[in-house]
Amino acid sequence: MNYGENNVALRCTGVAKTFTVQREMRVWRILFGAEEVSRGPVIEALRDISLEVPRGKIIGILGRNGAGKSTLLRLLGQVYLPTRGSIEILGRVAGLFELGGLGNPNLTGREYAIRYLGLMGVLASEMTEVLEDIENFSELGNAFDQRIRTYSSGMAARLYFSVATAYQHEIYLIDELLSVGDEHFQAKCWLRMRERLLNGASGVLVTHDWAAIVRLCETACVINDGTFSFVGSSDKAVVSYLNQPKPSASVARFEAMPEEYLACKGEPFRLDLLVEILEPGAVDCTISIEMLRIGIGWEIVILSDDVRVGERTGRYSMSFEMAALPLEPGNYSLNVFLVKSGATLDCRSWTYGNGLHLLVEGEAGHSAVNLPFMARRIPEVLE
Amino acid sequence: MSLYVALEGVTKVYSTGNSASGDLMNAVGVGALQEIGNVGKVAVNKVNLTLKEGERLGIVGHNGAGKSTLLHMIAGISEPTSGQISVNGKVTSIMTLGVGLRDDLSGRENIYVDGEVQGKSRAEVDQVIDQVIEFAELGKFIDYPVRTYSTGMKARLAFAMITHIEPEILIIDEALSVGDAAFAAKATARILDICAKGKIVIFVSHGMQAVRDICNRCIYLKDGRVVMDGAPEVVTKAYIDEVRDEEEALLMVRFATHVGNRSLVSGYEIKNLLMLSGESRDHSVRIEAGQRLRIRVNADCLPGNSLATCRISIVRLDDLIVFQQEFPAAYYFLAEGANGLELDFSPLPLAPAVYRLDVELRDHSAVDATVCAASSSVFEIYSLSPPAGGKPMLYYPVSGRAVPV
Repeated sequence: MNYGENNVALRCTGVAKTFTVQREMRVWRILFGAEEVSRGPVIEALRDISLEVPRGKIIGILGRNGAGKSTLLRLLGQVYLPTRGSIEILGRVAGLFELGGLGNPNLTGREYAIRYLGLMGVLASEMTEVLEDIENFSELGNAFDQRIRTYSSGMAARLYFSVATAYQHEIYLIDELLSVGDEHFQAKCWLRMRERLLNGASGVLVTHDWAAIVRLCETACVINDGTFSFVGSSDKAVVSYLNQPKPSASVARFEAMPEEYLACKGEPFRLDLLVEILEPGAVDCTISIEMLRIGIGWEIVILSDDVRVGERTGRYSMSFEMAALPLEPGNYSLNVFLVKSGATLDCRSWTYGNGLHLLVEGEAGHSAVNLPFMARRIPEVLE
Repeated sequence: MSLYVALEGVTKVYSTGNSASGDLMNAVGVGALQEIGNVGKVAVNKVNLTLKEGERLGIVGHNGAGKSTLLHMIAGISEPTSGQISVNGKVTSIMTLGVGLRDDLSGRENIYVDGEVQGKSRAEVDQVIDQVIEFAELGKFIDYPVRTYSTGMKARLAFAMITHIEPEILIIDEALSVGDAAFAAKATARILDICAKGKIVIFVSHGMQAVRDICNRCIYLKDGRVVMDGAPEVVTKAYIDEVRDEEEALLMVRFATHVGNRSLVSGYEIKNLLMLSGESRDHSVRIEAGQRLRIRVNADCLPGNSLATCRISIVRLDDLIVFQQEFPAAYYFLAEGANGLELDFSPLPLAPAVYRLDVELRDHSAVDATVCAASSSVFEIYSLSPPAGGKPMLYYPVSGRAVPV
């Protein structure tokens, strides 16, 4: 990745971090000179991490528990120093991780916000307005003036998110944050992050929620056992992160099918598939149509129920139909799965890296989908 | 003696101070005057409850109804302010994952220590330790001190430890989402498995289906009191019904900023905006997914303006426009016998979420349309049986069939 000198917000070069596992009583041993260097096993939490975050972009980092995600975020947030390599941060950083670390739970929500904003250098003249924004956004109501220790974890998370994002920062370091609160609150969080991005913020989002990565990042890295195992476009990163073994096609399989499909908005839609069942037993088939716009959104638009293909070995012709395709023109990802008692058999899906494409044609409307409706004039006063 | 849990007149009051300094003042006795009238929050109010062996109790109720406080008291984490709790049997609770872990010991050592705390011999722990380690999926970290673990790893270890001892009285607070998705699925399956064996189970959840699946008795807790006690099907249904009305009111309050009606140009006004769910004749802002929805608009427009339109949009709360169409105002509002516009979605294929309905009267006389009047309302689509395979944006029917070739 090379974005030019002025367009980089954050850069890591060859970063490694190792921790030495110390045995108990280390302080005493050092004090009394019992041993020179206490040598426990060394954990290599991170190695060979190189990363550039361009201005105005959020880079996603995907990894499982213990892969080194939080260590990386702490390094970027200057909580830890790297063992090797260098980290350059070119802007003001707001860490949206380990939130609440600076607060004492006896502070009220408002006191916490004032302390945080004070540390961030918010001017007293702006304080009232920002506080009001936090109070409204967090939807804490009266609880805003009560102690944080009386909050439920969801309420605390709402407070921390609202405070950390109330002010436009240059670089955000985010840990799983967009999973705060209920769905309505999450929608608000997304809107706010988008707004911050549009205003030129950059960031790193560390998560195991791959959907969040596809929705917010164009580029993502997969971290595995302390090092990047993949760097590239976020949909490919998801494929690499999920690393799903291609399901075996030995029980049932799709016969060869085209990769591209064409359909018309509002018209009847029909998808034909040929399926072969090779081992006896009930096999179901299901399809989904997904909107995959990297860095903007990923959403399943339509999902069929499981449809029984058959129980006996042999070849079957499957068809899926919709009365009027409720999609707007554009490119979609089409996914087809064969399922046997919950387990996926053969499939074509973008998350496996072998998805099908659906191109929808027609006159573009003003909305994301095309809902069928009827409009009528109300004649007289209704009963 | 058989296992039981008995609560008699159990009450818990939390003091609600307002600031750290206030508490300090109280502590030194200066604040007594300020605190008059501050009686604190009654989280649990005179609860009587007896559980016998074989009972699997579900507790439902709003956030803040006192569910967690009640669980904490039964688990012995906190003491009631007044009343009696007697428990016969060993209580295992899944809500404070990782609290009991000793930081300086390795994961493996922690499993033995925990076993001892639970009264198991080393030999007994030896029998299950391989399963615990395998379940926790910590790899080489199992022999490293727990302080080197990430939060997710600690939670996994704690969860694996708890679920591999044979519980007598098991308390589960919703927190089933431990670690990443793959582990969460494993954890849920494990809990269901334990429930089948647990002698007394107390389960708190917002998922009504989970309560019905797991429990054989259910109480509804409201403002710290037990308002209903009975079969899970009956209690959860009563709870859902009651919640619906409250949620409708709450929805309007919460999204008050999205709701409004204003006239910007005189002569244009949206007089009435109705949402009718199914065949109902009453306005409703909570609509079941897959039902018919009719939207009725009545408006005033200046006569003679043939370029005015009525634009109707449905916007999901994350600003995704899912429907937008313009209709000629003259035809629907001005012509002889025209009494308004009815939009009929039968059915409405939108998935559960909160949506905003925007209605605008727009004048297209100039190049850029002017908004002459606007009205917005908020509605929520809910579903009692969402699809299992994912969360699609639309619930649009796809028919499928197979024929042998």
